[in-house]
Amino acid sequence: MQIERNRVFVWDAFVRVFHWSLVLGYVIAWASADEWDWLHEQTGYFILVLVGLRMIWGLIGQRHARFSNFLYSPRRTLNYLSDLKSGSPRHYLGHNPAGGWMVIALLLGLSATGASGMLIGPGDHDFWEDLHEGFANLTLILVFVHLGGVLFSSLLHNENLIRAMWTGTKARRDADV
Amino acid sequence: MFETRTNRLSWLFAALAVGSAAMLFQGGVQVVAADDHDEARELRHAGNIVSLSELLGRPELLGQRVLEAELEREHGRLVYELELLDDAGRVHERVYDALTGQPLNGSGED
Repeated sequence: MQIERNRVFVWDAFVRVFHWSLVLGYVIAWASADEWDWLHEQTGYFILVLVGLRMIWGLIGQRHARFSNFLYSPRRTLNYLSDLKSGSPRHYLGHNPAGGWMVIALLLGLSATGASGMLIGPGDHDFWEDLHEGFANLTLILVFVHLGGVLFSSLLHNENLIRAMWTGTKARRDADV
Repeated sequence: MFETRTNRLSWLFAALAVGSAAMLFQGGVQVVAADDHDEARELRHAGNIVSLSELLGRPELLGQRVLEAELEREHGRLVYELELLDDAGRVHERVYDALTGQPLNGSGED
Protein backbone atom coordinates (compact mmCIF):
# COMPACT_ATOMS: atom_id res chain seq x y z
CA MET A 1 0.00 0.00 0.00
CA GLN A 2 3.08 2.18 0.35
CA ILE A 3 3.32 2.37 -3.40
CA GLU A 4 -0.36 3.14 -3.76
CA ARG A 5 0.04 6.25 -1.66
CA ASN A 6 2.43 7.74 -4.20
CA ARG A 7 0.17 6.94 -7.07
CA VAL A 8 -3.02 8.63 -8.08
CA PHE A 9 -5.93 6.93 -9.79
CA VAL A 10 -6.70 8.66 -13.07
CA TRP A 11 -8.43 6.38 -15.58
CA ASP A 12 -11.55 4.63 -14.31
CA ALA A 13 -12.61 1.12 -15.28
CA PHE A 14 -14.80 2.09 -18.21
CA VAL A 15 -12.23 4.45 -19.74
CA ARG A 16 -9.66 1.65 -19.74
CA VAL A 17 -12.01 -1.07 -20.98
CA PHE A 18 -13.22 1.35 -23.64
CA HIS A 19 -9.72 2.28 -24.76
CA TRP A 20 -8.32 -1.22 -25.16
CA SER A 21 -11.54 -2.66 -26.60
CA LEU A 22 -11.40 0.11 -29.17
CA VAL A 23 -7.78 -0.70 -30.00
CA LEU A 24 -8.69 -4.35 -30.49
CA GLY A 25 -11.82 -3.52 -32.49
CA TYR A 26 -9.92 -1.05 -34.64
CA VAL A 27 -7.25 -3.58 -35.54
CA ILE A 28 -9.87 -6.23 -36.34
CA ALA A 29 -11.87 -3.77 -38.43
CA TRP A 30 -8.82 -2.92 -40.56
CA ALA A 31 -7.70 -6.53 -40.84
CA SER A 32 -11.14 -7.79 -41.88
CA ALA A 33 -11.92 -5.00 -44.37
CA ASP A 34 -12.62 -6.47 -47.86
CA GLU A 35 -11.76 -9.88 -46.43
CA TRP A 36 -14.45 -10.91 -44.02
CA ASP A 37 -17.52 -8.74 -44.32
CA TRP A 38 -19.50 -10.18 -41.46
CA LEU A 39 -16.67 -9.69 -38.97
CA HIS A 40 -15.93 -6.24 -40.37
CA GLU A 41 -19.53 -5.09 -40.02
CA GLN A 42 -20.05 -6.50 -36.52
CA THR A 43 -16.80 -4.90 -35.40
CA GLY A 44 -18.01 -1.63 -36.88
CA TYR A 45 -21.20 -1.81 -34.83
CA PHE A 46 -19.14 -2.65 -31.75
CA ILE A 47 -16.96 0.41 -32.27
CA LEU A 48 -20.07 2.58 -32.66
CA VAL A 49 -21.45 1.19 -29.39
CA LEU A 50 -18.13 1.92 -27.68
CA VAL A 51 -18.06 5.47 -29.06
CA GLY A 52 -21.67 6.04 -27.98
CA LEU A 53 -20.95 4.86 -24.45
CA ARG A 54 -17.83 7.03 -24.31
CA MET A 55 -19.81 10.09 -25.34
CA ILE A 56 -22.34 9.48 -22.55
CA TRP A 57 -19.49 8.82 -20.12
CA GLY A 58 -17.96 12.12 -21.22
CA LEU A 59 -21.01 13.85 -19.78
CA ILE A 60 -21.69 11.85 -16.63
CA GLY A 61 -18.43 9.97 -15.99
CA GLN A 62 -15.70 10.36 -13.45
CA ARG A 63 -13.55 13.45 -13.30
CA HIS A 64 -10.84 12.83 -15.87
CA ALA A 65 -13.26 11.11 -18.22
CA ARG A 66 -15.54 14.12 -18.52
CA PHE A 67 -15.33 16.41 -21.55
CA SER A 68 -15.61 19.41 -19.24
CA ASN A 69 -12.41 18.26 -17.55
CA PHE A 70 -10.22 18.09 -20.63
CA LEU A 71 -11.68 20.40 -23.24
CA TYR A 72 -9.71 23.61 -23.17
CA SER A 73 -10.22 26.76 -25.22
CA PRO A 74 -8.48 26.97 -28.61
CA ARG A 75 -6.27 29.69 -27.18
CA ARG A 76 -5.12 27.57 -24.26
CA THR A 77 -4.57 24.64 -26.62
CA LEU A 78 -2.42 26.80 -28.90
CA ASN A 79 -0.48 28.05 -25.89
CA TYR A 80 0.09 24.46 -24.86
CA LEU A 81 1.36 23.58 -28.32
CA SER A 82 3.76 26.52 -28.35
CA ASP A 83 4.97 25.48 -24.88
CA LEU A 84 5.63 22.07 -26.38
CA LYS A 85 7.91 23.68 -28.92
CA SER A 86 9.84 25.53 -26.25
CA GLY A 87 10.14 22.22 -24.40
CA SER A 88 8.55 23.02 -21.07
CA PRO A 89 4.82 22.41 -21.19
CA ARG A 90 2.79 22.01 -18.02
CA HIS A 91 2.12 18.47 -16.89
CA TYR A 92 -1.51 17.41 -16.87
CA LEU A 93 -2.77 14.53 -14.78
CA GLY A 94 -5.61 13.79 -17.21
CA HIS A 95 -5.61 14.66 -20.91
CA ASN A 96 -3.52 17.66 -21.87
CA PRO A 97 -5.26 20.23 -24.12
CA ALA A 98 -3.90 18.69 -27.33
CA GLY A 99 -4.79 15.18 -26.16
CA GLY A 100 -8.29 16.33 -25.22
CA TRP A 101 -8.99 17.59 -28.71
CA MET A 102 -7.54 14.38 -30.11
CA VAL A 103 -10.14 12.44 -28.08
CA ILE A 104 -12.88 14.51 -29.75
CA ALA A 105 -11.33 14.16 -33.22
CA LEU A 106 -11.04 10.38 -32.81
CA LEU A 107 -14.61 10.00 -31.52
CA LEU A 108 -15.94 12.06 -34.44
CA GLY A 109 -13.72 10.28 -36.96
CA LEU A 110 -14.84 6.88 -35.76
CA SER A 111 -18.51 7.93 -35.75
CA ALA A 112 -18.25 9.20 -39.32
CA THR A 113 -16.42 6.05 -40.43
CA GLY A 114 -19.03 3.80 -38.81
CA ALA A 115 -22.04 5.78 -40.02
CA SER A 116 -20.83 5.96 -43.63
CA GLY A 117 -20.03 2.24 -43.50
CA MET A 118 -23.58 1.45 -42.44
CA LEU A 119 -24.92 3.32 -45.47
CA ILE A 120 -22.99 1.24 -48.02
CA GLY A 121 -25.49 -0.61 -50.21
CA PRO A 122 -25.21 -4.14 -51.56
CA GLY A 123 -23.35 -4.82 -54.78
CA ASP A 124 -21.40 -2.21 -56.64
CA HIS A 125 -19.07 0.42 -55.42
CA ASP A 126 -21.06 3.40 -54.26
CA PHE A 127 -20.67 6.89 -52.90
CA TRP A 128 -20.84 5.74 -49.27
CA GLU A 129 -18.08 3.23 -49.79
CA ASP A 130 -15.73 5.96 -51.02
CA LEU A 131 -16.74 8.16 -48.10
CA HIS A 132 -16.26 5.27 -45.69
CA GLU A 133 -12.76 4.62 -46.98
CA GLY A 134 -11.95 8.32 -46.80
CA PHE A 135 -13.02 8.54 -43.16
CA ALA A 136 -11.22 5.29 -42.34
CA ASN A 137 -7.97 6.67 -43.74
CA LEU A 138 -8.47 9.99 -41.98
CA THR A 139 -9.01 8.16 -38.69
CA LEU A 140 -5.89 6.11 -39.26
CA ILE A 141 -3.88 9.32 -39.60
CA LEU A 142 -5.42 10.54 -36.32
CA VAL A 143 -4.42 7.26 -34.66
CA PHE A 144 -0.82 7.72 -35.73
CA VAL A 145 -0.77 11.32 -34.52
CA HIS A 146 -2.29 10.08 -31.23
CA LEU A 147 0.43 7.43 -30.88
CA GLY A 148 3.09 10.03 -31.65
CA GLY A 149 1.63 12.40 -29.06
CA VAL A 150 1.48 9.69 -26.38
CA LEU A 151 5.05 8.65 -27.07
CA PHE A 152 6.31 12.23 -27.14
CA SER A 153 4.51 13.17 -23.94
CA SER A 154 5.71 9.99 -22.19
CA LEU A 155 9.32 10.80 -23.01
CA LEU A 156 8.95 14.48 -22.20
CA HIS A 157 7.48 13.92 -18.74
CA ASN A 158 9.29 10.67 -18.12
CA GLU A 159 6.15 8.67 -17.48
CA ASN A 160 4.72 5.60 -19.16
CA LEU A 161 1.32 6.73 -20.45
CA ILE A 162 0.56 3.38 -22.05
CA ARG A 163 0.97 1.67 -18.70
CA ALA A 164 -1.18 4.34 -17.07
CA MET A 165 -4.00 3.58 -19.51
CA TRP A 166 -3.68 -0.08 -18.52
CA THR A 167 -3.40 0.21 -14.74
CA GLY A 168 -5.32 3.46 -14.38
CA THR A 169 -2.71 5.05 -12.12
CA LYS A 170 0.02 7.65 -12.49
CA ALA A 171 2.79 8.79 -10.17
CA ARG A 172 1.68 11.69 -8.00
CA ARG A 173 3.34 15.01 -8.82
CA ASP A 174 3.10 18.52 -7.51
CA ALA A 175 1.60 21.21 -9.67
CA ASP A 176 -0.62 18.83 -11.59
CA VAL A 177 -3.82 20.06 -13.09
CA MET B 1 -15.85 13.82 -7.58
CA PHE B 2 -12.62 11.89 -7.66
CA GLU B 3 -12.00 8.63 -9.42
CA THR B 4 -12.36 5.50 -7.40
CA ARG B 5 -11.54 2.00 -8.44
CA THR B 6 -14.91 0.80 -7.24
CA ASN B 7 -17.12 3.33 -9.01
CA ARG B 8 -20.18 1.24 -9.82
CA LEU B 9 -21.32 3.28 -12.80
CA SER B 10 -17.89 2.95 -14.40
CA TRP B 11 -17.99 -0.82 -14.06
CA LEU B 12 -21.57 -0.85 -15.34
CA PHE B 13 -20.46 0.99 -18.49
CA ALA B 14 -17.54 -1.41 -18.86
CA ALA B 15 -19.97 -4.33 -18.55
CA LEU B 16 -22.23 -2.76 -21.20
CA ALA B 17 -19.27 -2.54 -23.58
CA VAL B 18 -18.30 -6.17 -23.04
CA GLY B 19 -21.94 -7.29 -23.16
CA SER B 20 -22.49 -5.56 -26.50
CA ALA B 21 -19.45 -7.40 -27.88
CA ALA B 22 -20.89 -10.71 -26.68
CA MET B 23 -24.19 -9.94 -28.43
CA LEU B 24 -22.62 -8.75 -31.66
CA PHE B 25 -20.19 -11.62 -32.04
CA GLN B 26 -22.18 -14.60 -30.78
CA GLY B 27 -23.65 -15.21 -34.24
CA GLY B 28 -20.14 -15.48 -35.63
CA VAL B 29 -19.14 -18.20 -33.23
CA GLN B 30 -22.12 -20.19 -34.50
CA VAL B 31 -21.24 -19.55 -38.13
CA VAL B 32 -17.62 -20.57 -37.62
CA ALA B 33 -18.69 -23.62 -35.64
CA ALA B 34 -21.18 -24.76 -38.28
CA ASP B 35 -19.63 -26.38 -41.31
CA ASP B 36 -19.83 -24.17 -44.39
CA HIS B 37 -20.33 -27.17 -46.62
CA ASP B 38 -23.35 -28.27 -44.66
CA GLU B 39 -24.96 -24.88 -45.06
CA ALA B 40 -24.21 -24.84 -48.77
CA ARG B 41 -25.68 -28.32 -49.21
CA GLU B 42 -28.81 -27.45 -47.25
CA LEU B 43 -29.37 -24.28 -49.22
CA ARG B 44 -28.94 -26.14 -52.49
CA HIS B 45 -31.27 -28.96 -51.51
CA ALA B 46 -33.88 -26.42 -50.57
CA GLY B 47 -33.49 -25.13 -54.12
CA ASN B 48 -32.41 -21.74 -52.87
CA ILE B 49 -29.07 -21.45 -54.62
CA VAL B 50 -27.46 -22.72 -57.79
CA SER B 51 -24.84 -25.38 -57.24
CA LEU B 52 -21.17 -24.68 -57.77
CA SER B 53 -21.00 -27.20 -60.62
CA GLU B 54 -23.91 -25.47 -62.40
CA LEU B 55 -22.11 -22.18 -61.96
CA LEU B 56 -18.86 -23.53 -63.35
CA GLY B 57 -20.79 -24.57 -66.47
CA ARG B 58 -21.22 -20.93 -67.44
CA PRO B 59 -19.57 -20.26 -70.81
CA GLU B 60 -17.16 -17.60 -69.57
CA LEU B 61 -15.84 -19.96 -66.92
CA LEU B 62 -15.16 -22.91 -69.19
CA GLY B 63 -11.47 -23.74 -69.38
CA GLN B 64 -10.59 -21.49 -66.45
CA ARG B 65 -8.84 -22.93 -63.47
CA VAL B 66 -10.63 -22.34 -60.22
CA LEU B 67 -8.19 -21.58 -57.45
CA GLU B 68 -10.75 -20.90 -54.79
CA ALA B 69 -14.54 -20.94 -54.53
CA GLU B 70 -16.38 -19.44 -51.61
CA LEU B 71 -20.02 -19.13 -50.73
CA GLU B 72 -20.41 -15.96 -48.74
CA ARG B 73 -22.98 -13.66 -47.33
CA GLU B 74 -22.18 -10.18 -48.50
CA HIS B 75 -24.37 -7.38 -47.18
CA GLY B 76 -27.08 -9.97 -46.61
CA ARG B 77 -26.86 -11.40 -50.13
CA LEU B 78 -25.52 -14.88 -50.82
CA VAL B 79 -22.73 -14.78 -53.38
CA TYR B 80 -20.17 -17.11 -54.86
CA GLU B 81 -16.71 -15.67 -54.96
CA LEU B 82 -14.45 -17.41 -57.44
CA GLU B 83 -10.74 -16.93 -57.74
CA LEU B 84 -9.71 -17.86 -61.26
CA LEU B 85 -6.47 -18.39 -63.11
CA ASP B 86 -6.65 -17.48 -66.79
CA ASP B 87 -4.50 -18.72 -69.66
CA ALA B 88 -2.12 -15.79 -69.31
CA GLY B 89 -1.45 -16.82 -65.73
CA ARG B 90 -3.32 -13.88 -64.22
CA VAL B 91 -5.43 -14.36 -61.10
CA HIS B 92 -8.76 -12.60 -61.02
CA GLU B 93 -11.91 -12.73 -59.01
CA ARG B 94 -15.51 -13.03 -60.13
CA VAL B 95 -18.59 -12.69 -57.97
CA TYR B 96 -21.90 -14.34 -58.72
CA ASP B 97 -25.28 -14.05 -57.11
CA ALA B 98 -25.79 -17.47 -55.53
CA LEU B 99 -29.56 -17.34 -55.98
CA THR B 100 -29.65 -16.56 -59.68
CA GLY B 101 -26.16 -17.52 -60.83
CA GLN B 102 -25.84 -14.10 -62.47
CA PRO B 103 -22.49 -12.31 -62.38
CA LEU B 104 -22.16 -9.30 -60.12
CA ASN B 105 -19.76 -6.68 -61.31
CA GLY B 106 -17.27 -4.84 -59.25
CA SER B 107 -18.06 -6.01 -55.77
CA GLY B 108 -15.37 -7.98 -54.07
CA GLU B 109 -12.73 -7.07 -56.60
CA ASP B 110 -9.54 -5.47 -55.46
